[in-house]
Order: sequence, then structure tokens, then C-alpha cells
Amino acid sequence: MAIVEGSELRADRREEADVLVIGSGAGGATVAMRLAEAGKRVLVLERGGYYTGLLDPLDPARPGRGELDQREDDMLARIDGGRGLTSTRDGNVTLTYGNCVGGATVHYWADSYRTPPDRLARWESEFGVEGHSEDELRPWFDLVERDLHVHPAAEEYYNGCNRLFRRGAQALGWHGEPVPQARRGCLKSGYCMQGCAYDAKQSMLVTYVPRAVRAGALVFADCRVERILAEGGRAVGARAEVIDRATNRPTGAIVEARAKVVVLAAGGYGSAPLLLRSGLANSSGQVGRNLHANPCSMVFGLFDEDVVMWRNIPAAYGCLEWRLPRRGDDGAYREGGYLLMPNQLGPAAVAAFLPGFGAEHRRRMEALPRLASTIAWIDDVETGRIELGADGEPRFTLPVAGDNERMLRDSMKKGALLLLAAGAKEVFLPDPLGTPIGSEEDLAAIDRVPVGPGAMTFAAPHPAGACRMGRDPRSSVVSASGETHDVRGLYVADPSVFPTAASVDPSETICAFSHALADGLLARGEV
Amino acid sequence: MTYHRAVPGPRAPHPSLPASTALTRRGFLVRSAGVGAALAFGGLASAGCSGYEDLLGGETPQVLAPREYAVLRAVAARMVPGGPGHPGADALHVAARVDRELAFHGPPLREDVRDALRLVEWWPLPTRFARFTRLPAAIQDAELGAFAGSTRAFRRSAFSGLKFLVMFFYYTQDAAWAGTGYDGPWVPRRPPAALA
Repeated sequence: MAIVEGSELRADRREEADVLVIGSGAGGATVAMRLAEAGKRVLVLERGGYYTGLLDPLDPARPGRGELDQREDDMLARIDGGRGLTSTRDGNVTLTYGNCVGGATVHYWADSYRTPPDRLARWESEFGVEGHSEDELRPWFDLVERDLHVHPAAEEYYNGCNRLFRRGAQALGWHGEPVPQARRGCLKSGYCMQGCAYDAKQSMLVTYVPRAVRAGALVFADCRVERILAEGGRAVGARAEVIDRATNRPTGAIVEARAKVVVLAAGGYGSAPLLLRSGLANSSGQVGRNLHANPCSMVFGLFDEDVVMWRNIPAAYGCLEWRLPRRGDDGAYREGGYLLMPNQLGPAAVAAFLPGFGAEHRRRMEALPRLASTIAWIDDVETGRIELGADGEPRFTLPVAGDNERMLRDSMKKGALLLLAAGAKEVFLPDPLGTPIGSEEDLAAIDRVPVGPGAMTFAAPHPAGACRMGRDPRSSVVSASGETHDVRGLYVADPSVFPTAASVDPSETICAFSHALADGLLARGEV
Repeated sequence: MTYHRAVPGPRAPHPSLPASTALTRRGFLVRSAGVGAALAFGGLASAGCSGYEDLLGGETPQVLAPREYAVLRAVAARMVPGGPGHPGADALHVAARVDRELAFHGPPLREDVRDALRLVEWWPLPTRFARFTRLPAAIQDAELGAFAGSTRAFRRSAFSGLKFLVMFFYYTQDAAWAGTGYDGPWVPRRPPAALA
């Protein structure tokens, strides 16, 4: 049983396996686990480090190293790609993604939705994503939900923010439901975003990665893949440099891995840059294009009562009323197009988003216990792009424009309405002026408030589309099997392959697609 | 879950997307002719570091130049001035913490922070006849407020980028939580190796 860390990789290594998996998040861990349990030799290369909480994920009877320490700065540095400071080129959107063993599931909220049938139907009809219908994915959804203990959030999971959120949604007559949660034995500490110290959140770190390792998979942490290797139109492996965690720089040691099949699962922000750097699978010119990311708007509300939004789970109750956009007969956007949820932020993140500075900012911080917030991840339709800079590093663009901007503005209106309906005494936006929304009459101000760079920052946690799946090799990067159209034996198993965002939190969709991919590999005898 | 209503098909990238973002790197500072001129002036005028020694607080930055570090200290001090029951940014060495964080990042972020600091430092000169670091506290507050509410994206971006770093690295510290009601983590701190 082994997870090999960068500090143990002092000399160059050459490895051989049946399957090389690049990345250990929801996609990579699922594929690694399935194939290892099928008796295949699996090697996983993970860019980030291996961090544990109070228990050892590989042997929960033993203590862990306590690295999931619930501090916002420590944990952003450990588990977030870019240490929490990656953004689009204009700084308008911050990119939230995983960079550790377990990937983004280590910081996800554990919200676990099945892909809405309308989204799967659209992917099939518009993009030719076959074999991924609701019926075909149902067995995988069932399996994932059993494996990850997914269950609707019970009343015990509702913190003050969730109770107020539900009260507001119900007062407005908006449809909402308990959010399905992947948890077991949750202590309700409120540090899901920082990585669960108690291994209660059912991330890949404590579920599929340990299963893969117990089945014989070898996981190398701190290994940044520089290039996927291909010969004669077929993927044959990858070359990675070992990263020193203390400096975030290469140590000089190299890992070169060879395998029959390469599964790229570096995440929605990571896989496209690696294909571009490798000069592979891009005859369509689509690698890096079609980027969706669910940019999030936030609204804050101050209540008379204590809310204590930093404890218990982030989102026990979600509003689904506005999931799909509503359009006029002329097709013009009218409203909706996002999930509206209760928000959870630690004090440092709250401080970064609250308006003002100096005494005004401090006044708001001293009201922290009475502060609630809504968050809305918009189902973005204006697409962005990932490109490589001259230094080989990715550059990201995501437009806060067109219908994306309209959705962001509308979602702030709905968030403000909900907080007012819940009884907030003061509702305000996270713009530099903290634009106040005292009543429904003030909502028009949201149409005018600047939302561009420097005026408002939107976090984007759910990337998709940059290696999209489809039937037509001229307009897509991978086929429905997950294999790239151009390079045999090279598969992509992460949300990059979704033609659009998933319309809900994507973790369960990623796992289900990856189960289907692994099943196909086994069924076709490719490994 | 209830599903309803159809959604439209995908669209081409919005035409306004890349043209206005002339950055060649990741960053929070949107470029324009105005900011370029201001930075060029700031860069020339601040080529030496004289006049900043007294603003370093006896600290030696790892990444930022001394003059840049001095500006960061001054900005942080106005963003979190401290008060009854809570320390200011200076007491919690926020500038040092930000400077140390920059060591983990590549040139794009470092250069953006440097540019933002130069912009804040030199912007007041034509109207206030002094650099930011030489202005009285009340005037510094007015200048920062003008940056925050500016109609110019590059000024807003400079402010919001610096504010993000200052506020985040102030409020991650236990000593900053007094008076906020935040009762802190349930497990002991385990600093990353490089921060131990």
C-alpha cells in the first residue's frame, strides 16, 4: 500500500503500468480504483501533495498527520491550485480547483447531485455524447451514492444561514430541497472548504484513493506532469517533474511512466493546458476552448439574530427554482440560470469580499456572527478559453459579459430578495461601495452596479468544456468513450469533457462518467 | 429535484472578451495607456530606495523591493488600522506575510503586486504633491477610497488586489479574531513546512 510523496522521490524514476492516471480527483481516483480493483497495474501521478487530517486515510485505525488544520491560509496553500490566488487574466474571476491527492473533492462542499436529465439529453442531442443517458448512467449514480454515503441533508445539518435561507425561499414560494450530501459521521465543524480534518466528508482522499491503493495502485504525489508521451499516434506514458512542497519548485528529479493506456484527469482547468503543452489531441482546435466554470455571485445579509455561518455544513438546503434560465419568446434572457445556495466562508475569505476598508470594514467584521450570505453558481453560456502563455503556463479568460453578466446580476437580485424575505436588517453587495439593498425597490441598483475587474470578484469552482466530448472530431476533443479523437490510448476523465457545465455541482457527474470510462476500458479489453 | 424549461445552445465566445484584457499574464491589474504611463513614471522615480528606510519597520522583505514593501506596509496599515481590542495590520506583520506568500508564486502575480504598489504610491503626486507613503493618514484613506470607487478598472483592480491580500492574510491570524465572534478552528495549527 503506497502513496509516495515528493520527499521520497530524490532520484529519477522509471515506472511501468497497465494504466497511467494523471490526477487523483473525482475523475482520476474513480478510474484508478475501478481498474486497480479489476487487477490492473495502475500508477497515479498527482501534481499536489498528500495531506491527512486526524486519521490516516489508508488505515483509519492509525492517526493522521494533522495537516488538514482548518486554517484558511494553510489549507489554501496545501490543497488549492494556485494557493487560492489564480484568476482570469483580467482578475474578474478567481479559479477554485484542487491540487492535492483527492483533488477538488478535498475542498468541495460534498453537495452530490445526479446530472439533471435535461442536461444529459442536451449533451446527447447537441454534441453527440452517446452512452451517457440518464438510464445508462443510473447504475453508476447508484454505485457512487452507495460508495460515498450520499443522503439528503437532515435537519441536524442546518446552521443558522441554512435555516434563514430556507425561510426566505419558502416565504417567496421558491422551490427548494435538502441538498444530497456525501458525508459519514459529520462533526459539523464547518471546515469542508479547508479539507475535512475528521475524514467525514467522503472525498476521494478518504474513499476511492484508499480503495485504489489497497487494490495495488501506486500513487505518486508532488509530481507535475510536463508532457504526455505519444508514439505512432498512440499515448505511451508521461514525463513528470517532482515538486518540492516547501518551495513549490521542481527538485530536479524526474518520473517517467510508461503504460498501455493514459487517462488524463488533471481537472477542468488542468487537462487542457497539459494537452496543449504536449501538442496532442488538438486537430480540432477545440482544446482549451468552450470553457465554462459556473462563476458565483454573492450577496450578504445582516440579521438581528446570530447566524454563525462558519459552523456546520455549507449547504443543507438549496434553491432549485432558478436552475434553468427563463427566456422570452424572442429568446432573450429574462431571469434564472443558476443554483442559489446558502454560502459559507471563513473569516479571512469574508474579510476579503466584504466592502470597504478601515473602520467601516472592521464594523462589518465585528458583526460576523450575524452575517449570512447567499451564493449562486451561474450556468454560464458565454464561454471562455484556456491558452498557454509564452512561459508554457495557462492563461484563463472567462467573460463577465452578455448572458453571463445578466445571470450574475439576476442572481444577486434573487439572493437579495431571499435575504430580505428571511428578515435581514441590512442587505448589501460585495462591490467596493457595498451597495445596499433595503427593499425590492432597490433591486434596480443591481442593474447599474459595476461588475467588471476590480469592482466585483466572482469565484469559479466548476470548470468544464475545455476538452469537450462529442461525436464529431472537428468540433470535439474526445469521443463518447472518453478517448481522444486524435491519439489512441489517451483518455480524458474529468469535467473537461462535459460539453457545458453540468447545471449542478459536478462531482457525481464526474464520478459517473469516469465509472463509465473505466467500464468501457475493461469491456473492450484495452487494459 | 424538479427539472423544467429548456435551455439554449452554446454560443461563441463573447466579442468583448479578450480585447480589453491586454495582460500577457495572470494578474489582477488591468492595463491601459494611463496605468502604463503612471508605472513608467513610478518606476523611474523610485529607482533608488532612499526615503523608504524609515518605513520598513526594521523588516527585510524576501520578494518585494524595500520601497515596494514600504508601500505595502503603508497600505495595509490604512486598510486595517487597528483599534480598541484588535491589533492593526502592522502589529500582525501582514506585509511580511504577503511578501512571504509571493515567494510561492511566479512572476505574473509578483509583477502585478509590484505594479499595484507603484500605482498607489505615485498616483497622488500630481494632485497631492506627495507620494502615498508621505501623505497624512486621513489623506491616505481618501486616496484608497478613490481607488476603490474609481471608474477606471485598473485603479479598482489595484485596490481590490491589494485589499484581498491584506484582508485575507490579516484575518487568517488568530490574533485578528478578537471582537469578531469567530471562535476559531477545532484542531491545532500545523503550518506548511515552509511557514513553520
